[in-house]
Amino acid sequence: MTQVWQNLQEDLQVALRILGWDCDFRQFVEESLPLLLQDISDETLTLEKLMEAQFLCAKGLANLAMHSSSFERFEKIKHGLSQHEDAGTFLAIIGMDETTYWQRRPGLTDAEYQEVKHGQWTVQELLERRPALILAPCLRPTSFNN
Amino acid sequence: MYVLPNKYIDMSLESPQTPQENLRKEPTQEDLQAADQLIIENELLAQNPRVKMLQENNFVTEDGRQLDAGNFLAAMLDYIGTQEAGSLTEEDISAAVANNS
Repeated sequence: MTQVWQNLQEDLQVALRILGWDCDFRQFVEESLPLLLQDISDETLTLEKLMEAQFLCAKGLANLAMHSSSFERFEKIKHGLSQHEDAGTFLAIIGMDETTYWQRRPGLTDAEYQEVKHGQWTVQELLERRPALILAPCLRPTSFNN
Repeated sequence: MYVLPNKYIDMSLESPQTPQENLRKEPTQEDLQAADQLIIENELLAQNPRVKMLQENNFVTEDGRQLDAGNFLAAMLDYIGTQEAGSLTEEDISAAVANNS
């Protein structure tokens, strides 16, 4: 098992148990999420693209949770992320600087963040290397501190 | 285990318009009044200097993009709410802990 999955496994299991879904999260991340992100996977990773990836992920999970009590909450998360083109304005309004947004748990390391700032990552690389960052808005506060 | 049916994937990918695609239009007076009302009703928005600046500028951003004021503010409230609460409530967690203890 890769380090990425070791890091994610416990968080996802807790989320699964709490949500009461009979859902294979690993399959969601490995099979469904790439499909959801396919239109933007080759694009350079920016703050706006991160929020768009999170939006598409929340949209997929909202569809999965359509018949569960969690549906409305996922819809709210999805709607909250829907203005991804204005991600910078959103951060300004909540008073968070971009570095903090990228690096808070389960965020990027300093070195990774520098690579992203220099346009060296695509959305696909984020999915492969840091899928938890895409899932983070949907899993808080189960596992991650804000 | 639940296997994600293709129809759910398809639904997500087929959605013809995200809210973003509906955004860039001139706001009507009614839109702006509704946005003003939303700001009055929500302290979080009312006290935010950035929101105030957007409001004063008829929701045109610094780089000249016109926002759909109502949708933007509603999404902002959901964003702030979910940043604080996430997808799971304390009750969810308590119930899960009780069920698994």
